[in-house]
Amino acid sequence: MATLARDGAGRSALVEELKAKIGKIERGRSAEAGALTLDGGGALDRALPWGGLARGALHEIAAVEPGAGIAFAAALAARAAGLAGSLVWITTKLGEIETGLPYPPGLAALGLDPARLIHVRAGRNVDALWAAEESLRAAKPAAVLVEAEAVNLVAGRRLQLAAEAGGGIGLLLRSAKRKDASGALSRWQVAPATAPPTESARAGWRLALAARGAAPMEWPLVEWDHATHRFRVAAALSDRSDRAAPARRVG
Amino acid sequence: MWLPRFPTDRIERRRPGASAEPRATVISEGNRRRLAAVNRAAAVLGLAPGLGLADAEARLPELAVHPATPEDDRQALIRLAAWCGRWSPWTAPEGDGGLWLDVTGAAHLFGGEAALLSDIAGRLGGLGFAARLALADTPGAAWALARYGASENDGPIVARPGDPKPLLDLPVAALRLPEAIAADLGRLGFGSIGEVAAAPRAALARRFGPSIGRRLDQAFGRIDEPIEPLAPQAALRIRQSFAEPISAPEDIAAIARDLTHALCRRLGEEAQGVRRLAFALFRVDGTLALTEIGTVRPSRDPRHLLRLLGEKLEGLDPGFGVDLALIEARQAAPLAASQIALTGTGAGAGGEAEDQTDMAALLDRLILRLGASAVARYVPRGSHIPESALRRIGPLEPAPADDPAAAAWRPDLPRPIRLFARPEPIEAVADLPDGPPALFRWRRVAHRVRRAEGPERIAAEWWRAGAEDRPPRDYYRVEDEGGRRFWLYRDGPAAPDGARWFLHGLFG
Repeated sequence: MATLARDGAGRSALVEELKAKIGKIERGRSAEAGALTLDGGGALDRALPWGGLARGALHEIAAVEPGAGIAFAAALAARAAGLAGSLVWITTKLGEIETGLPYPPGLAALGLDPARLIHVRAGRNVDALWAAEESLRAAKPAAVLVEAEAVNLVAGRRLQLAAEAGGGIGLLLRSAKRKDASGALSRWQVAPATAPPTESARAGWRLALAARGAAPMEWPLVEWDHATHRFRVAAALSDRSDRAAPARRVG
Repeated sequence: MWLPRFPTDRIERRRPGASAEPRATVISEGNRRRLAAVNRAAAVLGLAPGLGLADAEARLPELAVHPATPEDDRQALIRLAAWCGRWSPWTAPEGDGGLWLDVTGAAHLFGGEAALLSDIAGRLGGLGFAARLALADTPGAAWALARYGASENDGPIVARPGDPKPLLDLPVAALRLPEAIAADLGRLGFGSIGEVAAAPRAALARRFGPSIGRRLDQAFGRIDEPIEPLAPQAALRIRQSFAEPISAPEDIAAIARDLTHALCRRLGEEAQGVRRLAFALFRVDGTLALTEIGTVRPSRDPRHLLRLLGEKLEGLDPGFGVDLALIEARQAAPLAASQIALTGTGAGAGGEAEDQTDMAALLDRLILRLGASAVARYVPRGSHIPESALRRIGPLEPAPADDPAAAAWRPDLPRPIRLFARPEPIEAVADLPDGPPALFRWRRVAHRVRRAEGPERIAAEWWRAGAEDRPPRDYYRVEDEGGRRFWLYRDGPAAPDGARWFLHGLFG
């Protein structure tokens, strides 16, 4: 076997490499100051091992229903872009047929400033992934939201590496029916909230989170606060969801 | 320049040694077939274009005959004109076998006008094209001299600047007049351009119209003759020729690098940046491989330009070898040194200008691969119609200022996050004729409506064309039992049978 055949120098190089990797992972964990807070240190942030959404990483949004997934992804992107960053949103031809085009007036209502949105109509799935990798690596957009369907582990790994190099937040939006692993650091399964929202104008979702290095969680209603541009676990349910035992079903 | 035997030369280029036998191309006119072009061997034996095919074959049974392909010839002439860009950026095809080259200011690169012309003649001859070249002050004079001027061994003619004398002795046909007029002038006894020029202008105009006067003025340079060049005119171009043809990809990459750096230096001296850049390889067989790249904002960063160019280099086929490469800034814009980010300073060196430059570099790469229309941002437009309320513009283009009503987005209106380019027809059932739907079917899936808000009536804007044909729309925001939220509208009045429903967008 190849590992057994390694000489001493090769083995020590391997050990160094592993040490470096572990160090990087540990640094990633401790870099909580750099993480993107989702609900101001609330239930969502506490459920994530980074104290928020890790920057320089790829996160997956698995849409049970397209509209809900898109809105949640747009809200995440709006938070990631903040007041000064820009967002690159990449769509494919297939996605445009299925769900139409991003509509800035509606995105503006979510708090995403359309002036900072660059929309890339990539056409094919491979072009969308290429555009996402380029954009993440370029380090200029604060967030890159890519709608793609076929994303295998290799493609996901490339996006993750590009995000690490660039430092931005990569958001991969696809259907929850896709079961192949994308290698993202966190996976948010998004369904429309069946519970009535506390206020009619607010967007709300049922979320299930599976983050690397953390217990899976589920929230029946997470809302988007249009005034503060933050998520909020619905008050009536937050006590229960804070204590929420690992969810029965994730993915 | 004139290529008198362009069609037969093209045929013979594909068949080495074929020029010795007489050859002609033939076109059909009704029942009659006649010669369109003849090669030198056939011409020496007395054949000429226009002769009937039967006559020609009677005189010369061994004549090789080919069908004429005027459209192919025309395309080939355009390609040849592009290849002539090696001598001058300004080239254009002319008629059936002519090429225009504006060599103003280019001759010194080749060691003078005579040397330039002999280089052209030599290279065209090497490709198998017989060419008659003439260089004169005006396109009209050059045309006349190339076709009708006398020279030793058909060599190039260089007319002295400001001297109309060589033109005066040429036949009337050299004036590029319609055939009928030229024939009439001949019948009236005009033998040369000089005689026509000396005749009273007004009398000729009365009889033949203004064309004679115009052609004379063009030939003698009294009025300009506008000719559309083949390629857009470059702001800056740099050429590099090779003693030995190159074809290895690494050689081509190296020359692209050298030329890009040289171009960027020149751009720097002129405080310019390039918006569109062309890189061309001139192949030894008289063809051209060309690629063009664009940038969203002026750039003279060789690293960035080379990265864009690099994507295209693989697609450039050097063929049997390349003996000249050319880079040109087809579109340039002012770019001051202060606008350029310091490269290689690494992350954290920040600053608005650098952000913008790096973003521009990313956008250029996206546009290069996906096309300019694929990368855009949105600005609001003053329209109530949902699909007209925005405009797609270039990612770094400033918002157009022509629409003052388009002050801002309206986040207060309930608008979906996704809009279908075409509203999708749905089947819907409403409890009340003018109420929201209780049930609808979209893409073969039934949705039972749990909550609905509306209607919001959006009428066609009466001041726009065709507005009266479009009924107002009643929009509803509906939520189905699964919590899915949609934007639907009813088109037209709520008639019991006539209401049409559409799904226009998705909410989160």
